[in-house]
Amino acid sequence: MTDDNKVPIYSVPDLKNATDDAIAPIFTSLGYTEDHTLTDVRLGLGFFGTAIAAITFAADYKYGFDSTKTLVTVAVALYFLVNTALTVWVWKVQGGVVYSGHNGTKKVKIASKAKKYDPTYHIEVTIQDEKKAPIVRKDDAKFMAWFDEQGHLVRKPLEAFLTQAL
Amino acid sequence: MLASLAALRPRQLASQILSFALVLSTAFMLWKGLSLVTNSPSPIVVVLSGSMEPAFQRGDLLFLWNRSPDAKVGEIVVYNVEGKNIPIVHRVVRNHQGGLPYTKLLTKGDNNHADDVELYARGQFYLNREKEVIGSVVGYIPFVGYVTIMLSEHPWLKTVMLGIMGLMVVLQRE
Amino acid sequence: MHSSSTRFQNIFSFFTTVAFTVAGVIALSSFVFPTHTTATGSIRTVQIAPGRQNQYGTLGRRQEFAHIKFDLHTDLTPLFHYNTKQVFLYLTTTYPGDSNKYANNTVIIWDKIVPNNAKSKTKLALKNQRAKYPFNDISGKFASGDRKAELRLEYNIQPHVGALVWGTIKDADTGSNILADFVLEDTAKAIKSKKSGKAKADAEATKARETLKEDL
Repeated sequence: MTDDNKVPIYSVPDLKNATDDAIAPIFTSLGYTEDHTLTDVRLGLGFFGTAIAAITFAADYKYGFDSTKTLVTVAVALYFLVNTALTVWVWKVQGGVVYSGHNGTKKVKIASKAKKYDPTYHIEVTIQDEKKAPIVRKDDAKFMAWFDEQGHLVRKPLEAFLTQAL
Repeated sequence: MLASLAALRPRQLASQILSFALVLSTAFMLWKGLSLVTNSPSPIVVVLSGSMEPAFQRGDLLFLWNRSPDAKVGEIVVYNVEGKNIPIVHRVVRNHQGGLPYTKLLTKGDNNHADDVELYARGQFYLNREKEVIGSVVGYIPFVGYVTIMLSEHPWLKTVMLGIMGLMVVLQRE
Repeated sequence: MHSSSTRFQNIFSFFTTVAFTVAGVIALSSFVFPTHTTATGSIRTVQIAPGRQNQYGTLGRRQEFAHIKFDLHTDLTPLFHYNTKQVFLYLTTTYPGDSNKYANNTVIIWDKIVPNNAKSKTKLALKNQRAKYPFNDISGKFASGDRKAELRLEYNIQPHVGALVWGTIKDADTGSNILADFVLEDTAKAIKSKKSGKAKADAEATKARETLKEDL
């Protein structure tokens, strides 16, 4: 959702999603380049799974149940393997990361969390300078710090929050 | 609504499409998996006629199992007469098996006075268990299948339902 | 709009989950109930007569049909619990056929649907009851040699929700699944022949069979 959209301010998931989406453009303006690997792997696995399902559907439609039994068994097993891999990837590796980018020497990863019915935005920032060990910093702020009463996201306060977290 | 979709960055748009596609794919693959486990091309069927009343009513959902090569009298089977594509759910009233490879069955609906011979092909007085029966009923849930009867009698409902589902999945974020 | 549609969704999915859980519990609970009952049954008369199958209004070839009359006593009350929608009760006759064709044959000769409501009688006492379904063998005539047959009483419990259950009601005296052993022969002829001697009876029985063979 773009900054022009109104976000229902009583819905914590919507507030979180809108905030997550706003981070990338802010960092780009700060001179960072976004790193899409996490998302790309997720999309790749997901569409691979969908392709398996599509092929299975086509084979079953054209050739019927009896002649495609072996193919479908393999396809079903493969599909659930891919889905498990996808779930593991999203859960463990991607784990709440909403932005990943770098700026020449620094690599930054931001993971966000928001608890049900609690309008606080928690972030975990991982900064890694070349050759140095990664530093992890946690910070939080209320959503209302950068949302106005009608639900518009105001960029400056969010930007300020993010830069001081760095 | 479409404007907000268009404003999404390409990866976000791909993500939303993927969500929708995954819901459909997973539902389909689960159905196929159940099909394989039960060895039936259609492991869950909806009762379409009243010929098995009072046991089954139109709209009931039946669960089939097709891994038993026999079908004892008293069992309720679902069959397609070779050539015709209408599945019929009736009870086995006669069973003949022996040296020959196929068990032959005669079926009859509980609510019918006569047996099913008039439903078979001309000259056919018995069903072939292996070729014409797609499963035996092992369990059932009442009423739930009525939605599919409505969908098949009013096909435009299908489009409306898919449309609503699609919209809901795409416009929400997990 | 967002929040009301979210609320509707939440209520709907909660309702669905609850409904399915309750249905699941009811379905599983059926297995807890013991469904033990017994019956006594016997064959009164067997009549083998020629007949024809018909299909689409045209009559087929002549075949041997068995018409049976029987006695049956049983109490079905243990089969009815809160998840029983109806009991489909059926009497079966199992008999052998020619060994190189269809050696095992089972037919339902009589059935009864007993719904689970206050009006249905769950205790049955049938005397000289005519079997609903006279039957013919798939080959057209009953086996030339062994015409032994077994009578069994079986049931199918149809639940309100859940798994269908099948069972056989055992004989009250012997505890066996078979209520009666009999022969697919004209009982009238058998009684007559008992009176006039065995040799003559065999000749008559063979003659009757041969007449039928000519007809078929």
